[in-house]
Amino acid sequence: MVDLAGPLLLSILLGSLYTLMALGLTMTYAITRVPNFAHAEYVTVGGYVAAVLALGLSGLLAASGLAGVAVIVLASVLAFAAAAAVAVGGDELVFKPLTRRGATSLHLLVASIGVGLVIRYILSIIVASYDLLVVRSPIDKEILVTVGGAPFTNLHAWVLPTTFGVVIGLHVLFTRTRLGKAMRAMASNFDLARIAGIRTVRVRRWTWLLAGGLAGLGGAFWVINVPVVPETGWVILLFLFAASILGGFTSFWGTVAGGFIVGFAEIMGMSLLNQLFGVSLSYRPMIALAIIVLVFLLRPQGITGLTMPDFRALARRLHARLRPAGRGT
Amino acid sequence: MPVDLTFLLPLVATTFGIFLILAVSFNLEYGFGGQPNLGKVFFYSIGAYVAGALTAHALWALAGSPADIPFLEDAGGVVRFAVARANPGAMLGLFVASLVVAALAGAAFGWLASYPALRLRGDFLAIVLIAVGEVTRVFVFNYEPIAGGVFGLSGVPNPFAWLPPRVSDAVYAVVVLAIAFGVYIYASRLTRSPYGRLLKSLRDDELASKVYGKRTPRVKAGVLMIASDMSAVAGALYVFYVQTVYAGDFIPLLSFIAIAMVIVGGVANFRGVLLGAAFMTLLDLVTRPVFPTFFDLFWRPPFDMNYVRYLVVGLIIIVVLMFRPKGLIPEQPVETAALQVARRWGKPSTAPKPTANAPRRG
Amino acid sequence: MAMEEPKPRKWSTALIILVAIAIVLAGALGWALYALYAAPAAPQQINYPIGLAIATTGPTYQVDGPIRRDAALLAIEQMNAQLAAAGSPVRFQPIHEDTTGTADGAREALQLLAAAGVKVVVGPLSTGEVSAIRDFVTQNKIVSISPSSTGIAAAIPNDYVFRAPPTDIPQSKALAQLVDTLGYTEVAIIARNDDYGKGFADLFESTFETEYGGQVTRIAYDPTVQDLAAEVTQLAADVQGLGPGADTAVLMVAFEGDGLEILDEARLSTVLRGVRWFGSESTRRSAFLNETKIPDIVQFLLDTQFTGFFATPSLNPVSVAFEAAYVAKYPGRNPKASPYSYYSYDSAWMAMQAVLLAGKYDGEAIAKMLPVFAATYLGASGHKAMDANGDAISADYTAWRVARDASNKPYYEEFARWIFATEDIEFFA
Repeated sequence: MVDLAGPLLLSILLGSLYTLMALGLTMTYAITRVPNFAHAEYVTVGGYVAAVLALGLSGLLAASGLAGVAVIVLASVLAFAAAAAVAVGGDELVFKPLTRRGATSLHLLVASIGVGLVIRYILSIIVASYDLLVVRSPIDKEILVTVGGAPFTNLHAWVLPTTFGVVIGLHVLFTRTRLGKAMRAMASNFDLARIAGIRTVRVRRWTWLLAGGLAGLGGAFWVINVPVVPETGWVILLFLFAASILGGFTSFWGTVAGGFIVGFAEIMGMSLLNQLFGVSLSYRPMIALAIIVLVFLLRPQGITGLTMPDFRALARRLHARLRPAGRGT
Repeated sequence: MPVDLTFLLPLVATTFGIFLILAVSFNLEYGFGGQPNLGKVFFYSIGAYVAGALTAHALWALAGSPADIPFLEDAGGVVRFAVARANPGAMLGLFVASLVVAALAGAAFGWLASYPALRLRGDFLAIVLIAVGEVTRVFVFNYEPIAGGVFGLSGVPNPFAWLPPRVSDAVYAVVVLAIAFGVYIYASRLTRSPYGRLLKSLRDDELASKVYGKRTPRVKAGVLMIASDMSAVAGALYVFYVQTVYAGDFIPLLSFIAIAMVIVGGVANFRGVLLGAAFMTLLDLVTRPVFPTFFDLFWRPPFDMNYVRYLVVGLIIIVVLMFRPKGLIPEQPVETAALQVARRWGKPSTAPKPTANAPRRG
Repeated sequence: MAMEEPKPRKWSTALIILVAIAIVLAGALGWALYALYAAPAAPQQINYPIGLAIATTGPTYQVDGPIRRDAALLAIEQMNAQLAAAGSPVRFQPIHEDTTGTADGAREALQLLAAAGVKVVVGPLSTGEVSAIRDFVTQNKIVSISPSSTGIAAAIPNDYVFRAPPTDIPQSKALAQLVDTLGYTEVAIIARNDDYGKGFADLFESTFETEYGGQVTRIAYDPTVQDLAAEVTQLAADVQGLGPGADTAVLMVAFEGDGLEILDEARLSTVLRGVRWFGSESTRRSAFLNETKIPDIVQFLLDTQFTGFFATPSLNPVSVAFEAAYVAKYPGRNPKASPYSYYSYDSAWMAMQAVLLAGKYDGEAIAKMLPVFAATYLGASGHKAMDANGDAISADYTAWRVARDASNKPYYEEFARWIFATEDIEFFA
């Protein structure tokens, strides 16, 4: 008996969180050409800020439901701000100077590894000295309603609309606003964008601000789910890359789809493997990572640009393969 | 200074030797070949699993495969140690065989890795290789038959276990250093040749090299194979030192340490690699809580020194990339043997141009 | 590959040299300063180092490790105070090295401690680490006393590894017996996938199935994954598959972080709240009973009558004194947060006593005297007499379950005892 209601809801939640966190990664890569290994640390920073704030205001939380909502909103906003600050700081100090000196994306990748290490271990030293290595948010998960036997929690109620709002908001940003169009211009051709008069430095700052902030926001929600530790970000970094990569690393909607695909693969995929084939759940981290490897080997541009003719061509090729007598396309 | 050097020196020497091999291999791939293998720990772990499993199973067979003693538990390890101590010849033979098999396995996986390496750009390749490393780690950690799974495979004895304890550590350290320097000299020689120039030309401008008729895919695959080979050997040496195979040891941080070593010392520069490896070994030693006690200072820092070590690694990467991207010792033009001969023949006042040789088919 | 150097600065080389000199000077200054603060040895003082190979970073031990290390430090400090009061020239010097909980880390830590001249070590903490260093310490005659390794994989006679807690064998047997005695025939296990979790679950499963004819399902989860909602959902499915009647129970084998996460997810499931829950010894934690922080989890523990065993008899005068001393020395902290801190305290104490009994700082002599001392020692974690493998002989186990006391606070109520000698379970009135 395959029970899928629970895994389904969990996949939607995890997918939303991954999408929220991976969008920033795609943005910084597409617009500023930095494959940012430090991205996940913004999640950790956001998580800590949100958790510590909520702890500080835990009296208010106990007071009333509306106060609880206010605390969550405040914590999220502050997490956004803190992570955005760290992101912009990292860019101003490291990535922008390196880009100016002609660093390739490879150099920037290596530099971002350094930045990630620095953020994570400074954070570790600080929280360890305040005895805050593991911080549990006082905001509890509660079941709001049961759907098909599976719990729909307040976390769902916060994350799903926020992700939806963010996705729509970003879409509007990219298509309707000057800033967004400037970002797209920079992503598509940096030099032309500069020639066209776009203030690339300002756009760059906004990009990093949004990217870091979104990751921090994801962290603020993540901490309602699980206690935050310094490794929180690092553990999910590769999954965030998987989500971005599925989107070909440069596509906005591709990343959105990618986030959900990774979330579903990790939970639904793992549950199916477990229930149908008895594969132990401890293989869970492998699933998302295996996706990266497979996607890269088979179709490095991810799922972007897949059109109906592509599917038909694929079907034809499979058909030809299955018929060894005939010549393949 | 209450330091027992018979414990400290082998530790430092073995660590340095293994770091050196890793740095040399990364330098070959990245410095000369232009392919950053951020999944270095994957090839390193392959060598470790292969060497460890081979040795453990062979020793077990030598012991007559006692059915009442569990293979994976410490009791099994005790049996393996006993067999190794009783059969020095067999143990040494197994050591050499393990190194050879590890090298072969490394080369094989390097060849396999060249498939994505040829189709992907640098930063994408880096991510894929890290993912492959993590997939392998999780897989081996969960799937017991390979390397003991969550328990790890203890009882992979030091090849000189049949010598008295400190002597065996010291002799092994010497062997590791010897192999490390052998690898170092090999790599230096390899790159101080037309082949080295070929690699650099590929790295700097692949299109131009192709125009000159160099078979770039072959060459790139070749570099990856040689470097993976070396990493696997390093992994095998590591396993014989720790005497346990444990999948959890092989984390991406190790790859980043290799990067830091090469970046600090100097890309495409083997003397720089020596410097980088020495620096990292020193850093590892100095950021240990025990270190002050060597100087009779019993001061405990208010925070954990482990955090400082990785913080320093991160800072090093950033600072060096920002201020000395070519490393502390900058890259030199390729010095082939022919160049040295030409210098001897040529007039002392005029220095021959580095591109004295006409490009031949690679 | 051709990245430009920053604009040429003539003084960059000079800058590097200056920085290097600055570092050397700073180091020298620091060294001089610390030399002023380093305790100068009294003329006839004999310093014996006690190594502490205790992991204090890394996902598994970043919270527990420091507590256990601090407990050992407390023991050493107390001993030194008593020696000073007695006018003895002997002092013990703690030297801590962090193993990060990995085999590699353990090996390096031991080697570094050996380089510092240490011959007796408290630690390492986990069974995997103990396996990794066994041969090294045995060959080099360094005594290792682990305060928390309990896997049967490491029970070996005639080596230099000693363990303060008993192995998991009697505990898992006792737990299987208790589960059966209380009338459960089906158990859904959720265990962390590492040497401890897998070892314990394997032992429980084999005993429960072969001796009591029960049925067991198992979920193993990767300990590095923080979000265990999917695993707990599967657990609920397992429970339903086993038939969520009165004869189904759940067994949780987890440490603190993952345990809290599992409980946090499980409390949302009516299915899981409706069955009895059992836990390994490692789940008996004061953090789980913090009603101000996690009221619903506490309620869940009460609803499921969360039950387990513990080897430590409580209200033992040594453990009470230890708790008081710990709280006095480290205000705001509580040794109850890490149950194995009691064992850590005892391990350090036994190490020092063995050295004193041996009369010399020699590994072989210490190894001989350690079981001699342990045979008659009642410590904060109970009787420490050792078996032939150098592991604490199991004593009686106490069964606890979560309940409310007279003042309505949640606590671990002790309601039965498993008697080691007869393997009987005796329920308290």
